[in-house]
Amino acid sequence: MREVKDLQKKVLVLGVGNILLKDDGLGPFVVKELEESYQNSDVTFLDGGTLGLDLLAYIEGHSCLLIIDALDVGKEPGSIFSWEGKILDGFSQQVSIHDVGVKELLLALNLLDIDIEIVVMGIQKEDISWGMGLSESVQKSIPLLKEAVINRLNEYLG
Amino acid sequence: MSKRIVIDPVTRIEGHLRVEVIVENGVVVDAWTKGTMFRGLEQIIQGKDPRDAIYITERICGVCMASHGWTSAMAVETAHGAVIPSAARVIRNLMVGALWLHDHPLHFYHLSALDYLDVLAVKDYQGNDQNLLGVKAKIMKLVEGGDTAPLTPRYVPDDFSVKDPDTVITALSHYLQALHVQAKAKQMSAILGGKQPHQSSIIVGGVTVYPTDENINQFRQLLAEVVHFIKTVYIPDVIYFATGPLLPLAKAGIGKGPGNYLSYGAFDLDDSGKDKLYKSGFVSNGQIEAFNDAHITEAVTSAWYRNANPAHPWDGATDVNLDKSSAYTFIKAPRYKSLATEVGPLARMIVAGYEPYVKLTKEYGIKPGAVARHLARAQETMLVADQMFKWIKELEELLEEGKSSSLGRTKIHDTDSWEPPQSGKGAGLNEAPRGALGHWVEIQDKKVKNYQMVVPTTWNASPRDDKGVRGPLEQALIGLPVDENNPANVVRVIRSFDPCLACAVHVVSPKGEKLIQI
Repeated sequence: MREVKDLQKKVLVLGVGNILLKDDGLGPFVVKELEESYQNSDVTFLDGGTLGLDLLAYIEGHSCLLIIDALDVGKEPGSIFSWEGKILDGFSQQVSIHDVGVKELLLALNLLDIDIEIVVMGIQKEDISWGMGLSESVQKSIPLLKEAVINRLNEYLG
Repeated sequence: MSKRIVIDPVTRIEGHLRVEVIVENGVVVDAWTKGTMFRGLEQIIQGKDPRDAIYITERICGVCMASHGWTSAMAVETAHGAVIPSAARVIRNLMVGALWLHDHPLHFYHLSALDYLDVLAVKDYQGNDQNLLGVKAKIMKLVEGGDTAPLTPRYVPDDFSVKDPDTVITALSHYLQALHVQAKAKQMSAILGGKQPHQSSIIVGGVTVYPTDENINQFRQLLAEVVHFIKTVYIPDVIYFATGPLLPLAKAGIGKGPGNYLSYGAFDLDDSGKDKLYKSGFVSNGQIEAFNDAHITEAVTSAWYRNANPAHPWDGATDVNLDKSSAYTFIKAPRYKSLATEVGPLARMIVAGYEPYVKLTKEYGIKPGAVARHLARAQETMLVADQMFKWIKELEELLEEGKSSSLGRTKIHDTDSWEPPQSGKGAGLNEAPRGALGHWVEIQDKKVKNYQMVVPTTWNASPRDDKGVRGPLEQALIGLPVDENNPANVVRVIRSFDPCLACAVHVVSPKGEKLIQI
C-alpha cells in the first residue's frame, strides 16, 4: 500500500551549467530534450543555467531534486555517472564547485531544513572552453543518459 | 620584513578571483587583483543575429542575467533605431528592479556579513527567544557535525569581529530569513519575465509578456513582503553595523578606492530617458561632471591580450596573448578620462548626492571605504524599493489606457524595428547592481560584426593600466592594516566591492562510494 508521503512525490529535474562553455552546457541541453519527450505531471523540468541560491525559489514543493550536470571525476570523457544521497549526510564535502553556485544552494537547503532527496546524474566532460555546442564524446552518451534519467524517475515515482 | 599573501580563490564571491598583497610591518604596501578565467563571450556573438545577443549575454552570469539582457537590448535597439513603448519601459524597470531587491540583501547577509561575525558566539546565547534558540540549535548541530559550511570558510575573528552573542544570533536569524525573502524577490522577476530563471521577455523593441491583473496583484503582494524585510531588517541591520561595531573601520575609511566615481545612470523615469532613478555622472576630487561615454577607454597593458593603445570599446579587440610578461590577469583596465574609477553603489550614491546617505555619513563621520560601500548598497535599495510601487501604479494606468485604444491593449513592443539594419552601431549604458554596465554592438550585413562588454567588476578589479596606475580594488588594499597570519581585512575590502567574475564553470566533481558509473 502506498503511503501518503509517496503520493506527494514531486521531482524537479534541474539542468545546470553554462551553455557558453561547451560541455558545461550539458544540463540545460538535456533538460530541454527531456522536457519535449517526457511527460509526467509529477515532474518539472528547469534550465537553471549558472544560477545558484536563486534556484531556492523553484525547489519548494518538490520531494526530489535531480540535478543534471557535466561532471569531472577524472574518467574517460563521455562516461556516465550518478550520485545520490541526502544533503545531510555530507554531500557538501563531496561535491566541489568553484563559485557561488549549486553547492551554496544545497547548503542553504540544509540550513533551512528543507528535506529533499538529491540525485546528480551527468557525463564526464571533455572540453569546457568557450563556445556553444557539446563535444562529440559527450554528445554520444546523451541518449543513454536520458534513458538513465527516465529510468530513475520512473523508479522513484513508482 | 615583507611577506606576500596570496588569496586564491577569494571565496564567497561570484567567479574566480585571485588577490595577492605584500604586507610590510602589518600594512599592505602593494596589491594585484587577478581574474584567472578568460571570458570569450565577445567571440561567440560575432557573426550571430544581433537579436540573439540578449539571450547569449544573459547566460554569462548566474546573478544579474536580466541586467545583461536589458543592457544588450538597449545596445541593439539603438542600432536598430527601435523606440520602446512606455509600458515596456516600466515593465523592464519592475523586472530588473526586483533583481536589485534580490541581489543587495543577498550580498550583505550571505556573502559579506560572515566577515564581521564570530559565528561561534551563538553558543553563549543565554536568552529565551524561541526563534533564536532554534537558530542556536541549528548552528551548534552543524558545528558538532564538523561541517559549518556555508557559514565557513572564514578567518579567525579579530578585533573588528562582532562577538556579542545576542547580536550575532540575531544577525544569523536574519541570514536565514533573507534566504526565504530572496526567493520571493526571485518570483517577482519570474511573474513578468516569462520563462525563468533566464528571462525571455525582454526582446529588441520591448517585452513579450503582457501582464494580467492577476500578475500585477501577485507582484504587488510579493513586493510588499520583500520591501517590509528590506525596511525593517536589512537596512536597520546595515546601519546598526556601520554606525555601531564597525564604526571605527567606517570612520577610518578602510578600503577607500581611487576617489573617482562613475555612474552611467539607470531606470528611466520617462520616455525621454533624461530623468533616471539613479543619476549619471562622474565625480573626481569631489567635483561632479556630466557623463560622456567617449571618455571610456580600456588599457590592455597588464592583461593577456595583444598589446594595443588604450581604446574606446568601439575600437577594442579581445585577442588573447598568453606570452606577455607584463600581464597578470584576463581583466582589461577600463579608465574614465584616463583615471582609475570606482563603480557600484558607493559611486552611485556619491554621484547622486543621495540625501539619506550624505546625512548619515556626515553625522557619523563615515568616510568612503569598505563599510561605506555596504551602507550605500543598503540605502540605494530603499530608493528602488520605494520606486517599485510607483512603477506598478504607472503600469496599471498605462494598461488601463490601452483598453480604450483601437487595439484594445497597450503596446509593449515596437514591431517596426524588429529586423536588423544592414549596418549600424549601438551602445547600451546602464547600471547593474554591481555598477556601471556597458554593451557595445556593431552590425554589418545584418550580423554582429563586433561586440564588446565592459562589466562592473572590470572597472573595480581592473589591473594596472598603461601608466602603471593600479585599479580601484588594488588601490583600496594599499595601506590596509593586516595581520599576516589572518588577512581578514583583505577579504572584507574585496567583498565590499561585491566582485562578480561569473561566467564561471559549473562542473561538479562528486567523489566517494556513492558515485556509480552507468
